[in-house]
Amino acid sequence: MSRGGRVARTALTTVALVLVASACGSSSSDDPSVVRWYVAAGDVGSTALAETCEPSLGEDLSLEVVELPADPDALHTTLVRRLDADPSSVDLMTLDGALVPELGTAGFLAPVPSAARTALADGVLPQALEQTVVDDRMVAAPWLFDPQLLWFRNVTAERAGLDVTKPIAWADLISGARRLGVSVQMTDDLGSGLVDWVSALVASSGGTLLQGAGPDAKVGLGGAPGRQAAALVQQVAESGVGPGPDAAAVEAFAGIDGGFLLAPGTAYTDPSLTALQPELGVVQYPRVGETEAVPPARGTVLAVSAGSRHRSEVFDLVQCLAADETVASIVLSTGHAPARPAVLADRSVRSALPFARTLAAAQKAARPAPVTPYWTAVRRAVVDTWSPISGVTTDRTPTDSQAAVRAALRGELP
Amino acid sequence: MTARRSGLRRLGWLLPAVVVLVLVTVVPLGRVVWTSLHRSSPTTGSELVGLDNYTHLVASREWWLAVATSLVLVAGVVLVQLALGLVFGAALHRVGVVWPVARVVVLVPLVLLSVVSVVTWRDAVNGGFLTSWFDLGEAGPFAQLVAVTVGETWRGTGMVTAVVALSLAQVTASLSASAVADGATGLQRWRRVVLPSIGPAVAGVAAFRVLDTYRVLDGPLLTDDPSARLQTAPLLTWTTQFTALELGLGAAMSVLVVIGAAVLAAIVVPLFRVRRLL
Repeated sequence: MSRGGRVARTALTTVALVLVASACGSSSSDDPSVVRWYVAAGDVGSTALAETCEPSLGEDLSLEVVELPADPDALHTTLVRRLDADPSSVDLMTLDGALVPELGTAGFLAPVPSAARTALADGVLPQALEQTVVDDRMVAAPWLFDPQLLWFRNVTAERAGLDVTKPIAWADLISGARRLGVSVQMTDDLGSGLVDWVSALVASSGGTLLQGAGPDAKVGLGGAPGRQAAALVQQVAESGVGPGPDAAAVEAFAGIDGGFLLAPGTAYTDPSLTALQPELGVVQYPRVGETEAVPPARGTVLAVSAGSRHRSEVFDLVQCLAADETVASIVLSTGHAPARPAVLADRSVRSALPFARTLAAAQKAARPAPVTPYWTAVRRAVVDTWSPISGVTTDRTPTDSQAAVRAALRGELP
Repeated sequence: MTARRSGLRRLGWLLPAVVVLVLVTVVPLGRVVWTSLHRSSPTTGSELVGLDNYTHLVASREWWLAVATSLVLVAGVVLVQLALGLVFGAALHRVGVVWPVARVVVLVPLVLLSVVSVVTWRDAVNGGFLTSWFDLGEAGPFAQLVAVTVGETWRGTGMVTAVVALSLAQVTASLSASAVADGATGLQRWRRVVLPSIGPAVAGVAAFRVLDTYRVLDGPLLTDDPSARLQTAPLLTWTTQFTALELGLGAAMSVLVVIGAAVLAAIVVPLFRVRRLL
């Protein structure tokens, strides 16, 4: 080999070795003194909370916040693969409560120790608690529980002729917005906006998206409630009052022709709405027929990995994060709703958060995603069959969607 | 005795290679087949279901639709590539006689990674220059179709062009000269002299392009969005396996994709008489 060739080869080898060494050096995944907390991107100021509660881990451990993708499919696969491959690389997770049955059934989540159970479960909303129990064992701590509300500018509601002292009907909302030429926006938090909307419309029409936990669960999209939901989605699409669930909903609502917004309490603290806060009004989620509305809700839980090497310390951390004072600070700074209603009833929270009463009432009526280990498959099937909303029809969509969800439950193609 | 011993020794030398070959081919294939007999997911567990996955797929409209999409893509893309490649190749051959560097320069845009060509064409239709030229509105599935077919054609045309230009250079000059001397017309020279000598190479590249287009995944994957649904069989396999995490069904699909490729090869190879090459 020529001298030049030898030099080049040595140089290449050195570069490769340096790269390998630096790749190993920068990764802390093997460091036993680090507790890793996985959160979805853009979630509740976890870094600040991590600083507040890190001392509860003791002196030897430090806390690291790791972001997961915001896209629900990417988040799900990343989490499942990681937990499946190396459960000890994850210690704590902030999860959508809808994912707990699946991860709990797979044995990825550590049961809450009996010593911590009372502190974490007492006084929690029953719907929020139900999401955290798998096979009669509590495998996650209920943390937040966010029902959607109907936001508007006071002047818009008045001009649309809506009586905000009574529950508002979807039909009045759509016709009012159309007359004024303003939009009805819907949030799409973490990509679950469409399935939340469909499931809320079905529930408000007296149906249930899914009953039962197994692959033979009863799907409630094909019947009259499904058709009523499809009729409403079609009405929204045809009247042109908005794009349906959309990631940019809050910004669009803040714009000139933004009229109404369906979103959880977090909309209130959104940077694009801070200037509008004094003119904002808020009421319960709209109803479909004469019956009371069932607002969609997302439960957020804290779950400890079954493979964590520091289980007891991490459960101490969970207790700190789920303590009433910590949650109250989250509620005040972000507008999230607590899983424990007592936090909202607290006088200091009530006086600082103008819509605390509306939020508390919405929480009582709200229904989160059905408790099933097949939630991801169900969500994908619903989104596949109901989007784009301009293609929704009352005769095809409900039956197609019913068939798609049933196939998804059995792990088949539609 | 000595012959036998040397034969054994030769086998001994081959053994590591055979072991590696088995490890990287038979073991994964066997595992895929075994997985395809289960309903399996990392979270909801695994259960033996026999041939259920296969019977479900054979009866599934969605699956055959994906297979049909793949085949339509293959037919369209490969025909256009061959036509363009022949014309470009002939032109390149003529130019190349004058200026050899031209061959290389002209081929550069055609050897783009498929990622680049697909994304370029997707964005061209999706609010890019094609949108403004032809006044296209919301592109949706149309953008996806254009991006995948044009992107894939673009990529394959380069290969066909190169092969055609190279094999044209191989046509014996004396053969053409004597055909001219015999008074053969241009068409006769093309049919009797040029085609027979470039035929095997073109047939080989055509067969390769058919199988390569059949397994196309990157194009549809890159343009995948919820409103547009161009599902090729490999893409459907991908989403079933890696997004829906239905490992058993996905494995059954990949077995069917491999069988499909074998069937396609069994049709295409004798059709183009590729064996003349080998």
